[in-house]
Amino acid sequence: MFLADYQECVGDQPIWALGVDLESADFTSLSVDDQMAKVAGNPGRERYETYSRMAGKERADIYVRVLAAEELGRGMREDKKREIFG
Amino acid sequence: MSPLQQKVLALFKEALAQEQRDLEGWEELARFQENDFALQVAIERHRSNITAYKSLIENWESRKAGGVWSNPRTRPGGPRAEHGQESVEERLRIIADYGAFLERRPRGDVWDVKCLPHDKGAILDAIYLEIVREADAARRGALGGGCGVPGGLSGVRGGPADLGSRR
Repeated sequence: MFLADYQECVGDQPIWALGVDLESADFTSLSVDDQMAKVAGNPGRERYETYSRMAGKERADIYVRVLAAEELGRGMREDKKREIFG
Repeated sequence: MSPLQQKVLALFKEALAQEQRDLEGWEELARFQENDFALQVAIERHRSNITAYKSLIENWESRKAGGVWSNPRTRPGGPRAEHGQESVEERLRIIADYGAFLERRPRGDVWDVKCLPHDKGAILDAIYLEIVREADAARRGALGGGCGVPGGLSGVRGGPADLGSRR
């Protein structure tokens, strides 16, 4: 989980892919049938998928920018770097 | 225009495309969350970024922009006046805070940006600029890994915590 997984307007509680925290005591204490029912009835699935798509796009953008930054760094003289970036 | 400037211009064009894709995503989300003020603010912010990127690209392409590298608004990382003006020390502090945050972050698949120790754009700008400035390949890899770039953290001792170490 990295920067792209932090999005605006999510609210105080995180969004879970399956709608629940699989490691929480509330979930692990349920019977298998109840666990399956809880995951199957995830009401926030559409919301998670929308955010997931946005995070995926942002991840790709970050990836491109990191590669570009690396190339810029390799192509720039050290004295120029100091002049520009301090 | 030098090859370096062309590369930065391409970077801004990619950023513009990403802003446009993000805006589409937010507008799609707005269909599910009507009357959400924060969402409208986010949409407006993306629209404003798009306008700023378009203006920046237009100026660059028409070669009207002079001294673009010395202007904090036009350094790599986007046209955000509030970011990119930080000193090296400030940027390293932002990155160190983010590294420490990664070490203790709670579980969850998507979190609100408000959980981050600094503005997400400021963290990204600090990381991008430090990647450009950084001479050490392993540390560049760690910085990229902190953004979530695949394999960025592999082989780098300390993983995310290494983001917080000062040289």
